[in-house]
Amino acid sequence: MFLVIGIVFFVGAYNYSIGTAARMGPGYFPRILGGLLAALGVIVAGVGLKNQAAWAKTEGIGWTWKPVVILTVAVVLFGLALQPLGMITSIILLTVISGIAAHDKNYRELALITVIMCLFCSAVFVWGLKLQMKLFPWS
Amino acid sequence: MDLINNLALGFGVALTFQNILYALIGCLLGTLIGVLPGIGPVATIAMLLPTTYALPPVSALIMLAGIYYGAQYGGSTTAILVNLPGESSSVVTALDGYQMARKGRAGAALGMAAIGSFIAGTFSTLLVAAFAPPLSEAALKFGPADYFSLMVLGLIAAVVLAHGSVLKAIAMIVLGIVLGLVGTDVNSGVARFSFDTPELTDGIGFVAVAMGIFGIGEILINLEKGEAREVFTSKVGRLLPTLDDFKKSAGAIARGTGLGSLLGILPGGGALLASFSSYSLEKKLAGANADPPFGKGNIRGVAAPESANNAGAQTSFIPLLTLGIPPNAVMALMVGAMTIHNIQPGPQVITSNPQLFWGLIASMWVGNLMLVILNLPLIGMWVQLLKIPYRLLYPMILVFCCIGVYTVNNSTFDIWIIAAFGVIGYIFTKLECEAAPLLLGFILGPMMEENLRRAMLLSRGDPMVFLQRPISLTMLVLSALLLIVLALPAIRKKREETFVED
Repeated sequence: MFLVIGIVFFVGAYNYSIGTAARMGPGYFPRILGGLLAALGVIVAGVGLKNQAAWAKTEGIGWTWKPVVILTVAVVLFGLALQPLGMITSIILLTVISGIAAHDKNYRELALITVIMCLFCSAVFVWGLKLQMKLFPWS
Repeated sequence: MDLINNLALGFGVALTFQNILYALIGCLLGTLIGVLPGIGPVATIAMLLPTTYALPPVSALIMLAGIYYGAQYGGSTTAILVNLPGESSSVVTALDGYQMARKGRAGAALGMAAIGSFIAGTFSTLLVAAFAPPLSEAALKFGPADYFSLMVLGLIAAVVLAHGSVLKAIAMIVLGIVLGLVGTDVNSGVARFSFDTPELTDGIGFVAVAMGIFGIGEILINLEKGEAREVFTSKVGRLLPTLDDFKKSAGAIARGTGLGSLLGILPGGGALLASFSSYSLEKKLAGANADPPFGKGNIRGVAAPESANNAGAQTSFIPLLTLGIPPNAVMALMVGAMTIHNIQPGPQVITSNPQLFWGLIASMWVGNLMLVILNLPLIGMWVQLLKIPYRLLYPMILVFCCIGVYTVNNSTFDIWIIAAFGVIGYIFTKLECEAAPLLLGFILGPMMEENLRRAMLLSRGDPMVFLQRPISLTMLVLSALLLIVLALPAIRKKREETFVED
């Protein structure tokens, strides 16, 4: 587990150092930090390796990727849909897709909440706060 | 006399009809969202930030402060009634508060929490009013080197107070700073780490990061846990604590207030540390023969941490308003809010913008008063809210997060950022890395770089400047001491104990 994050940090730092080595001016501070981060990553990974046996016994931590994937897809789709298709469409997409992730699904409630959210957001954000957002694909 | 004049100015601003209204809305909204389990003040403020864009700066800040108190109080309500602390600072409240609720005394616990918070809020508001002006004057003497060292101290203090591994907390801070550096370099105009993406040249939006980690990341964690809630809705009982309760709690409230005010000023601390340490203090003072024992529904175990966390919440405004340095994640969001309204937080605010400064301070007290008046009668409603199942709640939170973050810059790119940081936040929680230090580093990073460069420019590249200036030297010595202390095994154990309070 720790090893993963160690590598993430390390690769991240590696990226940053390379990007800035040529220009000392703007790259100075990031370079120091990149080095620091890489060093920390190595230490964390080292500690992780040492404790790996103990971690294996407790089976680490359960990872449930299903909701992670579903929610990420929902949010990304929302971002894609918002400008071309308008807010209503996007909200429907977001609530319906994210609703799949729940343990205890109830489609009638989900439909209800979708309608409520559409009405509420239109009222508050578009009519109330007058934010620049179109509601429908055709508006 | 200055103090009274200033406070009069402040109340003049805070008590206009418009601002009272915004404080009221802020408290209401804050409590409304804060009461929902699993949403702490950071997520609440991040979610509600967009609602304040349209307001004038003073009103916006007053409303945000209201949201903050509301969220905190809402968190306590959840802690007492459901034993599900919405935020880390009400974890200890849940210990005794929930036990009281099980004995049918939820009302007394809620009432005492509100009253204690109000007393603590009144006292610490006065404290802020008294100490902020001299401090901000002192802050004007700070040079870039001093600022840099102060931020180092702040970040290290944040490490001390983070849960879990010290190493990981440091790594999170550094990662935060690095993320904060993404975007166009202020001095040279060079785009850094933007990977040729035009959106990244403006940097990663702070609100997007906060919402991703604390909004979406939290949802993911909660979804995984599934639902296990037991709500005491039917028997809240009478709200007013008995005379005996008052007698028992008076000392606890006083001690909690004092301790909380003190700890709130410290960088990295704020409400969280305040509530933990005041609970331990009460427990020690009461000894083994407390009746009922702590953890079994002793009212002092509710009164003390609640007073302390409210006092800490107020006084954590001091470093923000005087130095422009946020001591914790909530204050970091406040910086974000101020920047959006074109106010550069720092010692100059008090002179250049006295209405804002004193108005905000006065509104702290108004906000606290409102919490008491509002929440005691409305508790029934909050309890109803607790019954909403999570499967309905989280799509709503998602929608608010997405729309909220979109409205900051009208940019779809920010929505993808929250999606990414949601996943990152989830992974971090799984790896037991706390996200709050990352957020603090994210905000402080660019400031640190700027001050570091300025200091180095002034000293012509001589790093000794950090050791030659007395203020800077003091800060650095303090940071070094903190780090050494952290490394000592005895203290390390003690620290772990404090956070694993049973």
